[in-house]
Amino acid sequence: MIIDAHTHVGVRTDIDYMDVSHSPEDQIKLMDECGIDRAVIMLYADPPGTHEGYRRANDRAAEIARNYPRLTGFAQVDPRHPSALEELERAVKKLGLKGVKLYPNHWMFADHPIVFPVVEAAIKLDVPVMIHSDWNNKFATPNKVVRVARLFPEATIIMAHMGRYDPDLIHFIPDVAKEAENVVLECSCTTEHTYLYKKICDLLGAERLVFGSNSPMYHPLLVLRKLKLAGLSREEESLVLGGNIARILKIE
Amino acid sequence: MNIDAHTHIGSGRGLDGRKVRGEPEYLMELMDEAGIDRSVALQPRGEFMPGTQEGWKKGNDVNAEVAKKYDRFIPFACVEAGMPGDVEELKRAVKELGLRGLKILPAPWPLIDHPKVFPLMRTCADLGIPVTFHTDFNHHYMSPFRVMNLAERFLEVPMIMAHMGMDPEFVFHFIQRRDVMRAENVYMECSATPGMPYIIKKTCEMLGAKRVMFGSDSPTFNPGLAKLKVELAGLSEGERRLVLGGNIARVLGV
Repeated sequence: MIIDAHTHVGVRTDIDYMDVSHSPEDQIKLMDECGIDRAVIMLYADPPGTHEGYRRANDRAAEIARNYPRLTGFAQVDPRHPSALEELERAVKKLGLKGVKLYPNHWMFADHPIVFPVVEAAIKLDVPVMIHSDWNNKFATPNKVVRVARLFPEATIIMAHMGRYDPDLIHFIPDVAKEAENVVLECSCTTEHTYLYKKICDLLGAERLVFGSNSPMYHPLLVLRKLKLAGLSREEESLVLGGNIARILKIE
Repeated sequence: MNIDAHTHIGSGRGLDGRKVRGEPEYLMELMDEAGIDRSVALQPRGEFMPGTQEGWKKGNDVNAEVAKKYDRFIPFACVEAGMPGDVEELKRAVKELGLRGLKILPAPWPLIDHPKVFPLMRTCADLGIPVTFHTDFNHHYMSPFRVMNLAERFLEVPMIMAHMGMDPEFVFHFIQRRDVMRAENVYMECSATPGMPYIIKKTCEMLGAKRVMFGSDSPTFNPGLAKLKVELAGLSEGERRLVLGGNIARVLGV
């Protein structure tokens, strides 16, 4: 089973260089074209990065997941908001969302104490925490994400984008990630290095790497082809392409 | 004809110390798999040694030899810009060895738009050859903004920005700038950019498909994967032909 651990649905309103409008039907069609069975979806929030925007996004993610069993919704919350924990509990217990996504933001470093209660709540609710990472964003460097994981060894921390595009800095990811066994690397938005994914499996174990595309902005076929070329064993490939995220999300 | 504007012959070591295969025969295998007819060969890995003029010469000689043996490779020269002897070695590489363009590596100094680099650019203008720059928004010596300063001063030199500066968020900002849109001697070459086909589509929209080039940075990156990114960009047939080889062929006169 192939599961895309990182996709977005909805209309993105915070960038000017690209019109991003992706309906659930578009997402299913894209998955069919790429041979993907299931996907984790996060809804673009409007207004972006706000409690109100995330609340509506969570409602919509749950509604879509109910209508499309191939799609699994993740919650998003703004840790700065006084009702962030309530919202996370509502999203998981009432809406049935299966994880929480955090975006380190201006002045809110990925490992800022303000996010700690959200991670603690995720542990209690037994859901993984996906954290956006980017070497080019000082608030979201992979080191910061790993620090959260070290502080909360019971949490499952999914490092989205594993530091993103940088073709040079990506070589340091295995070293950074080996500091915390509860960090899972999600490989969307990275460059066309292929052997690197084999190296990660060799050094960290194939249990620590998951396929994600960050579609619709990035194309899943490119990521799938990249993993195909990485020279993984059949067992490794089956874990990376879906087995790991299925285990984390308790998908049958 | 499909032309890859960015490859390196030569076996060497990757950033992590890993051995990387790079025999010309292996690169041609990858080209065959990806449906690529010809490749621009930039400084050969493991042969071109930065730091001394002798090290540059060795790399340029190897590129010339390989291209003589296999005409699918279009060889470029390489020197460290602004360092003593750069002009002399470039002239030798182009006039005596027949290399077709110049690749500039990031050197510890000087900055790429430093006046010490001007004589080399003047030489490129005189020789009528294009220059490929390694560009990276995360490397201030080789920022695309610094290359723009050169491009505005040496309008007659085609300047190819390898990797488009790499980070897509910066690329989208860069290609919307008026100075970049106006600089018709500047080309964007898309090797080592992330799996985002739209970046190619948008660059074609903003700068015109005449100014976008396919490149893979093979064998570090798989050329088939890089080409698939172009195929998925939703270009018209005409745009696609320009990006996949028409532009670099026109600039080089091949």
